Amino acid sequence: MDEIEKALKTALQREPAPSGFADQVLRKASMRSMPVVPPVFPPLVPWWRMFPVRWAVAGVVVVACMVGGVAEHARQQRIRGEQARQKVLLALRITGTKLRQVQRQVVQRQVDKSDEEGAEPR
Amino acid sequence: MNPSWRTLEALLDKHQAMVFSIALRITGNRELAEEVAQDVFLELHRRLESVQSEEHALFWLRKVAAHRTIDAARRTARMPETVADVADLPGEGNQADPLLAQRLQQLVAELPEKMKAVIVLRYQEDLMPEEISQTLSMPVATVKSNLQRGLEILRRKTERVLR
Repeated sequence: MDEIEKALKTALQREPAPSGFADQVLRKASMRSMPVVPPVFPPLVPWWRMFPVRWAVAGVVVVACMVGGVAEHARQQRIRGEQARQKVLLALRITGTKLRQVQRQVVQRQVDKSDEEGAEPR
Repeated sequence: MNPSWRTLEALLDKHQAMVFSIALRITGNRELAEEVAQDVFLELHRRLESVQSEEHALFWLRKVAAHRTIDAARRTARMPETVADVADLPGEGNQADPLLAQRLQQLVAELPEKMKAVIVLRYQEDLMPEEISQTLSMPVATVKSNLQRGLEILRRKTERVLR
């Protein structure tokens, strides 16, 4: 072995591990060895039987019914209004027709009277 | 029943200096060396049941320490790409041994990873080239080549001091 090899053996002597090294390794190893406890979940309850869910569903149903009822009432109102309008229009048409008939009759009588007065003997 | 040697505590007590020193010489960084050394022992703890003997444990520790340290050194440090980057030892004549030792440690730390690992396993662990070959999974011829080249570099860098 030459000088450089002897110098290397001296220079590369083992150094002690840092203070507390073994304790740290043992602590980490024991943490990894701890049994993993699975999380405990409460018993599974069907969603429709859960208390808050039932009340929420009931509330939604009530609101839906109210909204539906209001909409139906408005629709009925519109229908009745349209029917009334149609009646008025019909009445107006009937009235107009009658008036024209009466007017024609009046005019015809006037014409007839004029004819009769012009045809009398001298 | 487990033999007395096959406990993490017993193996730590016996081999922590070896593992830490291998990591220190190859990385050149104490904090990184400590981290790597801890990982090596924790890995051993996981595989403790498969360790067949004390000699097997020693071989396994050296092998895993060397490989993990080389990987860590590559990931973290800017290692010299060529041996030309290794600094010359200042020609100060008769240097005290501790200073020479410190300087040699520095020069070894600056060698390429594989070469450095070969030097450390040879002169720190007193392994023969055949044992180094098994530890590093490297052909014996490559081990001898790295050993020879590494010594030439260190010899050249320190010859002014050693004369």
